[in-house]
Amino acid sequence: MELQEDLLIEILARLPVTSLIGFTCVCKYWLSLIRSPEFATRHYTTRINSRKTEYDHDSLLTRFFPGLSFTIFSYENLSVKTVFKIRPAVPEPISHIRIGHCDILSNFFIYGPCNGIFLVTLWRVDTNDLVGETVLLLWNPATREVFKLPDTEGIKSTCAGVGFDDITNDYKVVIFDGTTNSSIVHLYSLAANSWREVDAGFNFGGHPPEISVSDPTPNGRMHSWIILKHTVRYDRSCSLLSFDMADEVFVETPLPGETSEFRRGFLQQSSNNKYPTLYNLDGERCIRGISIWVLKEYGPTGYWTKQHYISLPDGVSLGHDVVLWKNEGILYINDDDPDTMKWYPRDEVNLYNLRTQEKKSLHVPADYGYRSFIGYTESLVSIAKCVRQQPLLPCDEQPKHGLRGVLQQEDSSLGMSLIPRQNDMFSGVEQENASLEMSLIQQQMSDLSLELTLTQQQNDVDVPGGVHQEYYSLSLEMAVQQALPEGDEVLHEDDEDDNKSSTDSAYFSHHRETQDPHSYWVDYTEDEIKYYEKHGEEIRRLSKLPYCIREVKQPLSSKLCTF
Amino acid sequence: MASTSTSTLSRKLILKSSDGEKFEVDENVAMQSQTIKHMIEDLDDINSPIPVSIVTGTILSKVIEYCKKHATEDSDSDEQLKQWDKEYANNMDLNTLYYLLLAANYMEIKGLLELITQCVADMIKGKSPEEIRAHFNIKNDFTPQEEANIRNENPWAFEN
Repeated sequence: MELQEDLLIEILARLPVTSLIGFTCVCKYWLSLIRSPEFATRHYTTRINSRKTEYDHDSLLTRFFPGLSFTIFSYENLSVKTVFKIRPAVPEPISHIRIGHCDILSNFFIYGPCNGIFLVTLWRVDTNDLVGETVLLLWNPATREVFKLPDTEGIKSTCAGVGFDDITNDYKVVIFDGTTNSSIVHLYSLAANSWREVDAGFNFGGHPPEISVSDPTPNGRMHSWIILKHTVRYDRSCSLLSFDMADEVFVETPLPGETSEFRRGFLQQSSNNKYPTLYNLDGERCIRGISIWVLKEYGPTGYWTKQHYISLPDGVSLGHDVVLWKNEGILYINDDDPDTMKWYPRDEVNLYNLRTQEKKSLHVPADYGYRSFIGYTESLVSIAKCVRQQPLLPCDEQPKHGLRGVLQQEDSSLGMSLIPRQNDMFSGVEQENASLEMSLIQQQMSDLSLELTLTQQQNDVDVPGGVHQEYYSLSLEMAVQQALPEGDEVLHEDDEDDNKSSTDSAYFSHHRETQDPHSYWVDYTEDEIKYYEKHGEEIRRLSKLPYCIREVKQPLSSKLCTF
Repeated sequence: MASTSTSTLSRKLILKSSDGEKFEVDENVAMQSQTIKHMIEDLDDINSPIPVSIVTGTILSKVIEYCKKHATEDSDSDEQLKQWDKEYANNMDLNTLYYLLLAANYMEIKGLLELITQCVADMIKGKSPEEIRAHFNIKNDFTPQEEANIRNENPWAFEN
C-alpha cells in the first residue's frame, strides 16, 4: 500500500519511539519525517491523547540510588524494556570493587519528565573525596540522548526542576537553594545553552522541597514541588510551589484542606490532564489508603478535586512513589521494614490488585535503597536540536579534571541532520586536550595492577564522630566473579550478584561546609570503615573516571555524553 | 425495520459506492461521516443517491457496519464497544485495512480513522525496515553506507 502523507503521519504518530527510530532507515523521506521536530510534537501529543484513562502512561521508570540505575518498564505489560546504569564511559575497568555509587559520592536525583525529557542531577566526588562538581543532565531515555548542561561550579543548589516555556519554545532548568532565605534562582535556557540568575520573587527559607513533577502536557510550563512551610515549629503544613518557566516566577498553590498536614505523598503526571496529580498517603506509620487529587488551577485561588480514595489492607507497605496501573492496581516498591529499620532492604516492585486485593511481585531486579517510581510518556524530542545558540567557550577555558568541562553531545539524537553538528563548538585545543586526558586515563587503567594494596589509609579516613563531620554512605559490593566482558552485564546476573555478594557500606566523612543537603547520614560499623580503608585507593581511582548513562547489554557508543 | 416517520433521525439516505452499489442507511448512521454531513446540508433532494466516489461497495459496506454500531447509543458500554472495535479491525486483512483507511479519511469518520491507524500501527510496530518497505511499497533510496550509518547511530533500535 502507498499512503498519502497525512495518513502516514497519522499511523507513525501511534508507534513507540523504538519502532520509529528503527524506521528511520526505511527511506530518506521517512528519515526526515521522523526526525522533524514537528513530528516529535505530533507524536507526543497523539500518544498522550490515546491513553485510555487519565492515569495511564506508556512507560514507567524507576531510579535506584546506590546501584546508580534506572529501569524502564512497559506500562502495557509491565515487562522490563531497558536498564540504564551510570557507569564509567571507558571500557569497564577491571576492579575488585563492583561499582556502587562510590564513583558519584552524593545522591542523584531525577526530575520531570517534561515532554519525555528528564533532568538528572548528581554530585561527583572531587580529588579530596569531597563533594565536587554538580552534574546536570537532560536525558531522553526513549532516544538514549544525554545532554550535559554547562558547568554550574560555584552555584549551590538543593532543588531543581525542568519545564517547557511555551512562549519562546524553550526547555528550561531551574535550580535553587531551598535552604536559604533567597529568592534568587539559577535558570538555564536550552535554546541559549546558558545559565542566568533570576529573582523569582519567593523566599523558600528552610527545608528543600523534595517531591516534584513537571506538567504532563506538551505545552506544560510548570514544574511543581511540595514544600514544607514550617513557619512555626512543628507546623507540618505544606503547599505546592510551582515555577512558571515562561513568566520565570514562583506560584504558590494551597494543597487540598485534607492534606495540608501533609505527611507522605507525592506528585505524578496525569497523562491527559494539564495539571499534576497529588497522591496523599493516609495514615502515619501504617498507610491505610491513598487519596488522589487533581489540581484544577495554579495560584492562591487554585483548587484540587478528589478523584479517588484507595483503601489499602495491612501488609501493603508503600514507600516512596506509587503508580496507578490501568484502573486495576497500584504499582509500588516495598518500603523499608518499619520494625527492623533495615538499612538496605531488598526491594521488590509489586503490583497490588485493587479488585482481588492480591499483591504479586513482578520479579524485577529492583535495586536497594533510595528510589523513585515515575510514570511517563516517551517522546522523540531531540534535546540537542533545541539548542539555538552555540556557546562560545573562551580559549583559556581548559578542561580541568578528566573529561570534566568538555561538553560532548551524543550524536544519536534525532534530527541532527537539520542542525549543525555539535562538534563545531569545540576548539581544536580542547578536543586535543580531551583526547589526551582520555588516553591518560586509559594508560593509568592499563598500568593498574589487579592486586589491590591492602594498606590502611589512616590519613585519608577521618574517624567519624567529630562535631563538624557528617557522613555519606557509600555502598560497595565485593565482586565475587571476574569482571564481566564488555556489554555482558545482564539482569539476572546482576540479581545473582546481589544475592551472592556481601554488600558492605563504608562512609566518607565530610566537612559541614561541603555537605550537600540531599545527603543523609547513618550509623557506621567497624566493618564498613575497614572496607573503605582497604579499598580507598581503588575508590578514588574509580571516582576520577569519566562517566556516562549507559544501557546495559549495549556496547559503549563512540559518541557518548560523558560527565 | 422499525422506523418512526416523525423523527428526523430515522430519515433514510442512499449512499452510492464508486462501483455503483447502493446502500440505504439511517441518516444518523451516515451523519457520522463529516463529508456526508456537509453534502446533505448542500443537498436539496435527500432522496437522490449520495455518491461516495472513491469507496467501493465492499469497503463501503464495512464502513456502514462500523457507523451503525457507533450510531446506536447506550446499547453497549464503552468496554463492549472497544471490544467490538477490536474484533472488527482484527478481522481485516492489510489490504482491506488500507482501503478502509482511505475511506475513513475521505469520509471523515474520526473514530474509524483512529481505529484503523492504531490497528495498522500495531501491525507494523515490530517489523524490520525491510518488511516496512515491502508493506508500503517503498524503494530504499539510501546507499548501503548511508543505511549502515543510520543503523550505527542507534544500534539498539535494530535488534529484533
